[in-house]
Amino acid sequence: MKKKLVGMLLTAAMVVGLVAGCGSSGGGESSEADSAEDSGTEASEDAGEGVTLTYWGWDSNYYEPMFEAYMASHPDVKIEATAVEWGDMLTKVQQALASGSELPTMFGMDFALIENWKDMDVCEDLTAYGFDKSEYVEILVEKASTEDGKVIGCVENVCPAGIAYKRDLAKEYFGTDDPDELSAMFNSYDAYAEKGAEVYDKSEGKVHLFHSGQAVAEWLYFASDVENQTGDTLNYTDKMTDILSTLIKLRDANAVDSYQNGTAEANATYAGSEHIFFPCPDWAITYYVEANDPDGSGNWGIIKAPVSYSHGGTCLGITKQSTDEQKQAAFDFIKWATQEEEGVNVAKDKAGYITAYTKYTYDPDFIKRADEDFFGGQNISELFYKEIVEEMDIAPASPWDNSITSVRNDLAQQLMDDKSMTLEKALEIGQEQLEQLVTDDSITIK
Amino acid sequence: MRKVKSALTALLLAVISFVSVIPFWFMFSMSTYKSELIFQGTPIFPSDYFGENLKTIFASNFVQSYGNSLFISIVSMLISVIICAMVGYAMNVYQFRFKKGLHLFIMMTMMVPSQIGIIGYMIEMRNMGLNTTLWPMIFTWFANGFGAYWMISFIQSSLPLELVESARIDGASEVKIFRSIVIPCIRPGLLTLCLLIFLWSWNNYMIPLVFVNNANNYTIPIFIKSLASAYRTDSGAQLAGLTLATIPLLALFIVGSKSFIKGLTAGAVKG
Repeated sequence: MKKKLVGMLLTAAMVVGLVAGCGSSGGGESSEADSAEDSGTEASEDAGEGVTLTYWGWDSNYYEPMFEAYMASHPDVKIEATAVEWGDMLTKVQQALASGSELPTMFGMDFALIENWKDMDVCEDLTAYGFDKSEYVEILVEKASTEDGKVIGCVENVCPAGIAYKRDLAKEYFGTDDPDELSAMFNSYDAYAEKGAEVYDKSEGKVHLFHSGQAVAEWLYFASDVENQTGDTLNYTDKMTDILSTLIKLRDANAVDSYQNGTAEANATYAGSEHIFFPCPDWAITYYVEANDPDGSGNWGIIKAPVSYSHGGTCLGITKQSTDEQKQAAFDFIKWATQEEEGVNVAKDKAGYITAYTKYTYDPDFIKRADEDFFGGQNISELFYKEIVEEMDIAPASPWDNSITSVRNDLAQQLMDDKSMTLEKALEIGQEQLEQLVTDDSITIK
Repeated sequence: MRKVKSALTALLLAVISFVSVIPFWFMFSMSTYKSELIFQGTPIFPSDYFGENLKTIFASNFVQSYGNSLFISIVSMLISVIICAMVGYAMNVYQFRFKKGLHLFIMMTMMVPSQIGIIGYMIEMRNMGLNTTLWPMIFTWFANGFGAYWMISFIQSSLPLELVESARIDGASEVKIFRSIVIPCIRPGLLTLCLLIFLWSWNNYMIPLVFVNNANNYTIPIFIKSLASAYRTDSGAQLAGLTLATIPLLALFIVGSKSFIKGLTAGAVKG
């Protein structure tokens, strides 16, 4: 009986597997990406001949609506997207390169790791297609440029960052939820430490200013003006001291909780009532704040950080492997997405992204975000795209940023888990880790 | 005294069972919550959001991914187990030159991490024109060092060679001997290996990560990961996906648990 049952189950599973595994694709599924693909197929068929572009990326909140809108207005182009998890992107591309496997026509590159992408030398120079560097926010386009002036990718959005806060908690603990008053109150890292200690005591240890030591370290990393690399030297000690000394000050004042950044538990704190501030680049408004606290409309505000900074972002690059027709079509898409009225509006309305194309970035009418009600009607558009964009700076990237970031994350969590760990001890541990990760003998870690 | 002993044993087993089942229960229970509520407390009891979470995952290409994973795991399991059983039979029954060397080579393949060969495997698949299909995820299980070693050991301890010799004297062909005598003798070992290969193939992440470049070829682990980037904060949907993904494994284990345990403990009392 049992034998029969096993046989039946395996046979049934095999049949289902064969049907699903070998059957024609798209049999009734209706993901946004698939529907985008489907609509592209139809469009392609309607138009007769067309060009198919492929894309790898993780930022589906951006690429899905963008591809859908582009294919609707450009029926001769079909874009097929493959979602690749952010942390796997470099591995996947490196392995495809090493084995000579196919790369997509376009991919999303983490702007913070742009030097690694430059090193791989897989991207077309966008200037060869008419990309005018002077038309984009200078510090961003420079970061995506190589020493010989080639531009390997176009940033999807300008990425100013501030500090988001919960209005009800701010009112309860600081007596005001007004962004100007709070900005004045929190104008230095010392002020965060001082107020953090007060809040912690007042709430009897329940409320912290920030939810995650890693998130705070990430903020301080992007806000730091210490360059990661000068010549053949990695300025590890200077950079980490700049970040970790402030983190330790905040930790010792009980201003920071110990959630691991980006985990489901950490994301759930956005909707909770035990953390007041969250470091917040503009892309995190849709990605983190609104997504994690959908019922929190009106209860959020944003203030400037003590040092205005830019955080993260994604660059769109075109691979050298693609055909000339694909490359041109991909560039046309990038131009549409970042320069043309239809594209920049879809990016703004659907993903909350403001293009780095200065014609729009500095246009006070264009930058008006549709989600200001979520922030209690605060004019966050002007705050982000006028005040912070004008003040923010970006420290140059290095090819070792991936390793430095990994060490930073690890140290931040260790400091939060072991409250007695000193800066010296953390620096020592980090130095050892970094020496393991940096495989180039010509690089000195200082 | 005996009663106390058996009561203590039962208690210990109950505690171990409880500890083992709790993660599964939480996975299911959490999958019935809206994402923002999952970590607001301890979700011991199920909520009423399971249907919505299912809607979210079925709105993506979950069915296709599930089908792909089933296809890959079943084909990998069936062919790999047959090949491994044949290797086990040959290594035990036939005498040939370099047998010891071959045995050593099989052992050596188990020592080398699969990641080391992945670039070469990608080149091989690309040259065969298979890199955009599901086959690279299947072929990787065909030359399975562990499976071969497992079957060599299992056959050594559970197949009396006299049976094979008698069958030969009676005029049975090698295929007939393998099918009618060897397979029934080694069934527990085969079923154990089936479950292991299915489990490893179902959960495999590295090979699909580098080969899957098309949403139609997603497997369950890649799908769940893509759900993490597409719906970064939707933990409820991810957990619902994981809950559904564990069903085939649980079903296989429940159906074959007796043989699985028998296979794992075979030889344990011999000595």
